[in-house]
Amino acid sequence: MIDLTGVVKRYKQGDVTTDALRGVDAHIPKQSFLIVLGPSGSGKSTLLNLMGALDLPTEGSVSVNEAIISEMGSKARSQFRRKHVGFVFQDYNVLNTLSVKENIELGQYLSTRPMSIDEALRAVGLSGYEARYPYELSGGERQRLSIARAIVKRPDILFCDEPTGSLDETLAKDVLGVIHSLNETYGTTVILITHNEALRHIGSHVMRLKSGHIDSFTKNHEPIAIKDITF
Amino acid sequence: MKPLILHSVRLLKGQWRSLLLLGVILALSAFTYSVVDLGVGTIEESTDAYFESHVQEDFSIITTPTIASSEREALENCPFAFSIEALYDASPSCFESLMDHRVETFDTYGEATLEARIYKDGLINRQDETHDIRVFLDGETINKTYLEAGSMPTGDDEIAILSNYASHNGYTLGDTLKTEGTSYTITGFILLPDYNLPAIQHPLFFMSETQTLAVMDQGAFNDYGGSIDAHIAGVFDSEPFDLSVYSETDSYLHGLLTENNLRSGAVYAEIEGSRGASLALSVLIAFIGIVVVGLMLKKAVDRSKRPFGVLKALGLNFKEITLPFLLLVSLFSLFFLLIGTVLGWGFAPALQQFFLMIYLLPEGVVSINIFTVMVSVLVPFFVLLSLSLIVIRRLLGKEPVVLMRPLSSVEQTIRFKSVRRLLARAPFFTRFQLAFLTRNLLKTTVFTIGVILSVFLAFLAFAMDGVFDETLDAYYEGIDVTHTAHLLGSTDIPDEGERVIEVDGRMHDTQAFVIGLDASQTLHPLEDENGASLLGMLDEGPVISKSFQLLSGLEVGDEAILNLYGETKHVTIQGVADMYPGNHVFMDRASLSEAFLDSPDFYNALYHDAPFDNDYDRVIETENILASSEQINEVIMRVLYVMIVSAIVIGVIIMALLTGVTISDNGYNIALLKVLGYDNKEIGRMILGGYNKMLVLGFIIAVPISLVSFSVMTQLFADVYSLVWPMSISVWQIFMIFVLYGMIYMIVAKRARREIERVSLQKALKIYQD
Repeated sequence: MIDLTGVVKRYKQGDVTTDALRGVDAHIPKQSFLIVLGPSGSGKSTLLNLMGALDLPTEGSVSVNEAIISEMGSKARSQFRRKHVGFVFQDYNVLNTLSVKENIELGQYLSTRPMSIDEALRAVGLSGYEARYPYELSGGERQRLSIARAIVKRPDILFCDEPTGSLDETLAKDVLGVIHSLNETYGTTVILITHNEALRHIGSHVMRLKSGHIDSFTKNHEPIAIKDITF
Repeated sequence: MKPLILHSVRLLKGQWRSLLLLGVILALSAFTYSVVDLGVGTIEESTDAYFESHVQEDFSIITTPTIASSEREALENCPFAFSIEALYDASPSCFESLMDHRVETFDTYGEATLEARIYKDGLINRQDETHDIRVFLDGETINKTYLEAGSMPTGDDEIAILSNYASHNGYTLGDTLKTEGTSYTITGFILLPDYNLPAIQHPLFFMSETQTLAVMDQGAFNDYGGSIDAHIAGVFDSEPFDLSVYSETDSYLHGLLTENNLRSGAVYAEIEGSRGASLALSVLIAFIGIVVVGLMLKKAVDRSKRPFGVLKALGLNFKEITLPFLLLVSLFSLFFLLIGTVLGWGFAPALQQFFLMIYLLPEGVVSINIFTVMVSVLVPFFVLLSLSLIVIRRLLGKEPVVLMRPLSSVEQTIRFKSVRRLLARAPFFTRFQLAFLTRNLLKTTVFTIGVILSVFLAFLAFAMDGVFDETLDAYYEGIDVTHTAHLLGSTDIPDEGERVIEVDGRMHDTQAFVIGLDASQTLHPLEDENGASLLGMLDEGPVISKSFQLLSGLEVGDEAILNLYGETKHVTIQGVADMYPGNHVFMDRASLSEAFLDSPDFYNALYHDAPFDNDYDRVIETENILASSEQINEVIMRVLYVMIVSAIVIGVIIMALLTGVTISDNGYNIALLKVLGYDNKEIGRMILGGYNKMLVLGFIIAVPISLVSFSVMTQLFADVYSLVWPMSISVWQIFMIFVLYGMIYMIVAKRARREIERVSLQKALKIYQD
């Protein structure tokens, strides 16, 4: 599904050069639920940006379903994200000026075969909230809204960058349950970035990053139910 | 303090493009006011002084060119002469006696000081062309000559002329000017304050390229070969009175108040109008600038809320935190307002010269004065400063904990929630555009007001252009009269052309130019706005021109009193002719002659569609009037260009500034939409698309506002200044301006889309949501 070959990402700010990724190789299978773990500065977000076609590697290649996104131009990457990718961010990134329904419509518009708004709301447990505005929702509900916006276009891959980072344990489990069910119900490949070690048990695969390298990349043969993990 | 200043500088530095445009707006506002105030305002001062010191006449009495039998009795020992010109040829001293007699006779009516104004019309002989010249003697108590440069002529071969004419034709002091076969040395450049004089071809115009006024001393004047004429100049001793009191004298033709003469009365109207309009325009531009400053400040201060909250928490007070910001805003606005004022000062002499091309007035000394600086710099500056203080106090005058909380746009969202619900079924993009517009209501309002102002200015320019087309060109091009002969005192009139009466009078207390036409005549059509001929109505009563209707307020069916030749008659208005030639009233010639002169056969002018075969006292060629109109039109066109350019500049600045600020404000949203997979075109449509609609809305609002304003201004000019200034715009012009603004917006939007392209999508990933 996703292939990373010799991926290097180098940032230059003034005279200072930082290697965020130092040669990453990996193959992420289709429909997997990958948990990416690592401390701050390990390169997690950089890796997500590259796999999500948000950025280009300095060296190496990134391909998704044999399409080499690391060689795509800005417009092609934009089209790629439009067709194949959904994002969920730590800070929800929903638009306060738009209602719940309108926020989801933002995602729906991008797809040629989208879910209905009702289905997306049902999938995240927000049925009946269509007319509300984000500021009328709790943190967990906002994150669910963000997920609904991401999945309404039926993406092949859902990238989640610290989706529970701003939530307490109860709300976090609630959101993780929604993401997990999407992986199971729709077969969406989920790549979830977190620094929360407890989440390593819920994914089908676990990747650990350390100082820009893959420290370990393992298959989780016996995932634990989300309700049973402890933060 | 230094870190705070640096922080403020860096905050504003990030918006240098917007700041630059804002600076241009502020400078433009100051420039608009100062250039007109210094350029035109100084003419008013010098004009007041000039008219007072050189005793401008309050009125002129136009007298008969023939000598009445009662006057002949007063000319003992003088040779017999039918006309004043013949009398002058026979005996200049008898001519003087006649003039003295006339002044004495008129002096028995009304309380005014009178003086004969004697002049000779001649031709200037140039290599391959001839120009018109009217030579005077210096006025004794009224209309005294103003010497601009050089000295007054004292010798038999000396002359002083207008400097305007001299500069157009390359004459300098000491040069030789040949007129009526004699060469004269130019000793000085002069101005004459009696504005009824430049009526060589037509009362409305004075063509400074081909016509000049001049003065000579008595000896040279006596020897000069031009044809002599005279009228009586007068100054009211106390309150003005109706000049018809003079109509009881035998030599009275009609009286003309100087203030009613466009070339004189309009000087003040133009000056006051220009100053008023420039002030209004300046205030409008400044208003937009001030609102934009408020917007930008709010944005900058919003961004600084959290650090300011931290500073407050650390113990710094409000004054310490805000002072650097206010200092920077003050310096910035003061700088651009001063630049605008200095530029206005620099361009003021050029604007003054532009006015002096039309009006024969002395130059004013353009110097900067405290009042102008106060209006153009200090007033907007203090308003800006106060506004900045209000914005900053409102945003930062809170507790540190409140300032350090994340920002939220909840309030605005709630406010417009109900409006948004109404459009719930609108197309996808429309709803999103509306969401962005309602979130940025202040920007949307400024954008719309800016568009309305800019479009109004463009409409005004086109309306001004139309004024001359409608008032004169359309009239003279619509009639078939190419030559008009005035029969001043002739008794043996050949049978050519069509007979008419042209006479000045009053109707409904409004000065009227009464034209008596035969219903059978063919050269002067008289039609209503539907194209139906009104000639058949003339025997029932007068038909008035649209311009006279505007001046008098008369409507069809109204009764009015007509004063002519000292007689008073009641008439009923029969129709309104669709033309704006001036204060024209049309009547049936025979009825007019019968009513006022007890004979149906009188006429004093001939209309012809070809040159006359015979000589007449005075022949006016329509072609010359149109040529004069063309000259004035050129001047109007220059004003028009300036206005169009100003309108476009304001439009471009407003559009560019607000689209730029919108993109900058929505950086996060743009980045997020990019992350989601929207392309730049779609994002542009979402974020800026609402402005398309506001452009159309602003344009639609500007149309009725302009039409109503033009109607009010037209009536105002008529009521206050007795000027016919029919401003209107055609559907085609509206369409053209719409296309122009559409194109401007497309260019601005293209530039804005480039800015959207530059927004990094990384911004959405880590930035704290606003």
